[in-house]
Amino acid sequence: MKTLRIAAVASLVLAPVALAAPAHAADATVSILHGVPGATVDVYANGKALLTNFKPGTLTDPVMLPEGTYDLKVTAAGAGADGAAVIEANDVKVPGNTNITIVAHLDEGGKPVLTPFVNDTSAIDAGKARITVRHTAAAPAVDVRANGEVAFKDLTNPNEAKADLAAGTIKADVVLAGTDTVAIGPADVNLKEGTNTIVYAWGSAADKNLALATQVLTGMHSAPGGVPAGAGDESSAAARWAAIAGASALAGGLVLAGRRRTAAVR
Amino acid sequence: MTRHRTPSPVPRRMAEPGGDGRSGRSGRARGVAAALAVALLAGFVTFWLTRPSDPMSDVPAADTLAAPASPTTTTATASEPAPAQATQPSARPATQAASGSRPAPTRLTIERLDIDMPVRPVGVARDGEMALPATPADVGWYEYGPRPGDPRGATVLAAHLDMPGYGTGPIAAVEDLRRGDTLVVRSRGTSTRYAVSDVRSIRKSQLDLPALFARDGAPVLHVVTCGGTFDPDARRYDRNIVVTATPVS
Repeated sequence: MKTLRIAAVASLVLAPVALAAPAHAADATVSILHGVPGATVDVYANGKALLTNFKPGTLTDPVMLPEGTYDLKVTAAGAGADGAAVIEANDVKVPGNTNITIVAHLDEGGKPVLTPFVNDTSAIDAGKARITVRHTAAAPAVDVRANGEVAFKDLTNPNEAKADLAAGTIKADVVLAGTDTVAIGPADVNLKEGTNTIVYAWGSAADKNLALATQVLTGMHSAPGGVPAGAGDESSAAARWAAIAGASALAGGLVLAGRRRTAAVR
Repeated sequence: MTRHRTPSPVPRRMAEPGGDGRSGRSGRARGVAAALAVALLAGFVTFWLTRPSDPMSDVPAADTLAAPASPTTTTATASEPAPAQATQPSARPATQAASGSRPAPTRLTIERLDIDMPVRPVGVARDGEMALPATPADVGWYEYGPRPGDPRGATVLAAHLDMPGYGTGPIAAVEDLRRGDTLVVRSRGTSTRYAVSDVRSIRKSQLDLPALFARDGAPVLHVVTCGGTFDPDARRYDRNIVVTATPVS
């Protein structure tokens, strides 16, 4: 047991350095979003500093982590590995071959928590974009509206909803569920084709600092189904059939005429 | 009065039964049969002579796209992970980056073929195929793909070969392109020169669409139209003509 744990720690520490993940272990692509207002923090994974001076409203670039379970701890910036935990989450499962965003955020009651979300990186039809909305704010259930229409109903912390839509820019806002009371926004969200645009509602309704954070995952595009670059030319086709009919009639008529003249002469 | 009457069907038909009594009926039948046969033959000859020629008959047929096809692009590689380093991953504000993309192409010029066509951005039609401009006079640029000058992937331009009421479009001339010919794609304030590396006629069922629309790999220009045989019922050609050209610095 102990050796196993040491191995896990060692691989976590070493893998980012030298991509030394064991051959059998798949990597996960992990990003971290800071959605707890007001606190600049350090993040530890299995006792090792993963991030320092991490500011609210910021998102890390994705890093590859070997699959496994991680003990995560968030402390006030500079508090050190043994400092008091602002958030602590042990045995956080990080499955291989997944794309994950770990979000430090407030739960509905305002307590800081860590939530790992698995991001949908499946292929998207040509011309479309995926939008994912995540409720990570100290706020009650909300509806998310796109261009004034409710797109996602009754979303609660810490849940998500998603859809594939036509690519383009939408005006998004967040209202208290079942009402027209705007809690966040509106904001223009550019849904780029072939991407998954993830919008987080974060902050605290009580503290009046609700905000939107955005993460964009690219590379899920598909090619169109074909290039139908010819529609034929009806006018020439019609002329052609007229020519065929005309030639047939003429030839047949000539033969008949020839035969009859022979008959008449006889 | 008329000593020499021009032959007309009416007197002849009257004359026929009065002819040789025995062969009258079968003779007429034979006549009709012969007429039909010749009519069919003439029809077929006309059919053959006027058959739609493959407008791209000189284009080598192939079932694959020329390199540089991108290496299996479509595995969902969501945003490239930063190479793992000893340093921490960098963090940035979780807001949408303003996309500082290059200008969209506006014109395709192939001097040697007297082609000078406007380029318009197009997307995806309802059936999932690439949308195309309403007229063969215009070229469509697949707006979700790379732009001319982008460091990676295939810029795709496509134009209708023909259309009822229009006839054959200027793009039909690309069959005459040869390796090394120059194509120029103009965008607002800039232009990109390409040299033709390959012209192919590819069966639509065999077309490698992910490679044609690649977003990775070396930068390349694909100019696409139709070719092969037109199926008037399906209103489709059975082949695509794909010109591959690489940027000239």
